[in-house]
Amino acid sequence: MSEYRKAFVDFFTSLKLTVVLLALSIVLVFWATIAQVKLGVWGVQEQFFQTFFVLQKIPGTEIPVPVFPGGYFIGGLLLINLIATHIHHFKFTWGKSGIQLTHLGLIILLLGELFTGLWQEDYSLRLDEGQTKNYSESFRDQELAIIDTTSPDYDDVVVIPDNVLAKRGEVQHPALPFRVVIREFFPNATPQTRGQAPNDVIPPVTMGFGKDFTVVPLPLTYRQDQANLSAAVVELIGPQGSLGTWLLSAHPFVRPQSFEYDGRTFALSLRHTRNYKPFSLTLLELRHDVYPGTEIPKNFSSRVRLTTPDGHEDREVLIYMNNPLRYAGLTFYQYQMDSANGYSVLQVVRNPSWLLPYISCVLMMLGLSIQFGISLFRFIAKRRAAA
Amino acid sequence: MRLIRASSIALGSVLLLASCREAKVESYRVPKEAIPPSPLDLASGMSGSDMASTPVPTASGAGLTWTAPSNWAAQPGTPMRKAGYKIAAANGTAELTVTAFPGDVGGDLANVNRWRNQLQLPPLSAGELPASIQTVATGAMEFKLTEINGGAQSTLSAWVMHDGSSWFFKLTGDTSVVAAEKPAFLAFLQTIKAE
Repeated sequence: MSEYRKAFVDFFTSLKLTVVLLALSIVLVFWATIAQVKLGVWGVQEQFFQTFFVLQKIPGTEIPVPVFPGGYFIGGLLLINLIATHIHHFKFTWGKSGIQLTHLGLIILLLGELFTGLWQEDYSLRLDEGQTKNYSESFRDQELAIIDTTSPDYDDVVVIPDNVLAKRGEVQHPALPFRVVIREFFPNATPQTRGQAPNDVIPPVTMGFGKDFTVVPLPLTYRQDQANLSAAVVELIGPQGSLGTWLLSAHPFVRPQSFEYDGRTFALSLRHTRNYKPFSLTLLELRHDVYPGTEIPKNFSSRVRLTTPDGHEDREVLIYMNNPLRYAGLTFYQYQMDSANGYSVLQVVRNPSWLLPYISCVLMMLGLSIQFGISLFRFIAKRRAAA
Repeated sequence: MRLIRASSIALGSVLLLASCREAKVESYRVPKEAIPPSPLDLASGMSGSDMASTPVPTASGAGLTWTAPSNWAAQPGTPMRKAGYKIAAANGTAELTVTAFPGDVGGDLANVNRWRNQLQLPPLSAGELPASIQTVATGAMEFKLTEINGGAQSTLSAWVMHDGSSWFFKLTGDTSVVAAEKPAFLAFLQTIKAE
């Protein structure tokens, strides 16, 4: 083994590295806990844990610089450190089987956290009483939907996600008879009457809602009780030239904006990213029970009908606290409710790796029991021998 | 060597998995959905005759509470207003709107000039601004107050920063009604406190 390779292996299999990483992770968790006051859960996850580095802007500029290793960096190195040590030193003995099982549990726990970060989908499904929906909506991600509404039976939809809108530039899609040029994009902005805005930063808009309204860009919010509502200015350009420029906003009061082109009817809508399902849910009844004589909530529940187009499923389900609906790999939890306005919000979660933390805990528990058991039996045997 | 390979595979897989998450432009067909009414229909119905006085959607977060005088008739809430009151007198009418939104909306000069513009008055310069703003301290908070007389119509507006949002209490209407309601408006400010 060459000197370099030895140094490399020594580094990744070193116990010192483990201790340093654990110390760094303590600092990271402490810092993130303090930062959560301002940033909220989403912000902290994004800026501290689901990132390789914690970035901070140089004061007075917009230039971000890494100031501390992030969750992916520390967790990734810990994982490599753990696996590398096992590969390098692994030698199965019964005496160490407990420790090895515990470490396997730890590896699975770290992998589970990584897979959850990468694969978990978390959406919301808001239903008014009597309403049927076959899609859920992202809590944070937004998209520009260009909907061909010409057919009386169906809508053809082209969606451009907000990460593409943020790059501005052009989008050309075979299903569209025009190019979409993104002139401006604001990740958080609020609509305002045109002419009343203190500093109107929006390029001229020729069509729809933007003729009378503009938007005021706002700083991104990470608070859980606030939403970032994006806005964009897009120009559509066909073979004969520009069709016009539209201002779009994801604010709930801004509805899809329709226009005609080439004998077809289209609608433009900036909305929370939709995730369509092969089944529908209808909200039949919502209940908000309180303890008698008080305003203290006792129960929130939504009675929904689950149906599939092929008629295989048609059943009623009662969703309430700790009793979610599990269907098609998704879990529907009771999330929010407004009985006065007659709507209920379900949280829709898909987490393919949800079992891993349980498997990991069982393995670690088994490993520790075996290890303590072995030590205990050795100790008893020694005492017997001494006696 | 085995170790280097294993580490590279682990890192490579993480990056590959991460790249799978990137959303892309896509198309699909869905059963017909009804398109809600046009935005301008909604917008015009949203805040009655005075859209300009409620320029932005409400801020969320911690709110304020208040007690309005009994002769102010509460108006139905709208998506852009925290509250609205109609004041009808023998010699005219006035309306009080309560709006809140994140940040300072461009600062005091921009706000005052926006209200002046609504009364067809020329804008103030930055130098003239301080003279037009008074401070009203209540037990709980400190408001800024401006009074703009536009002839037939006037505006009496108070605002305060609370929990990162600007809260505006704006009384607009016939000058005689606004003048008559000023003492009630100042008493109303005294009742405003954090939720």
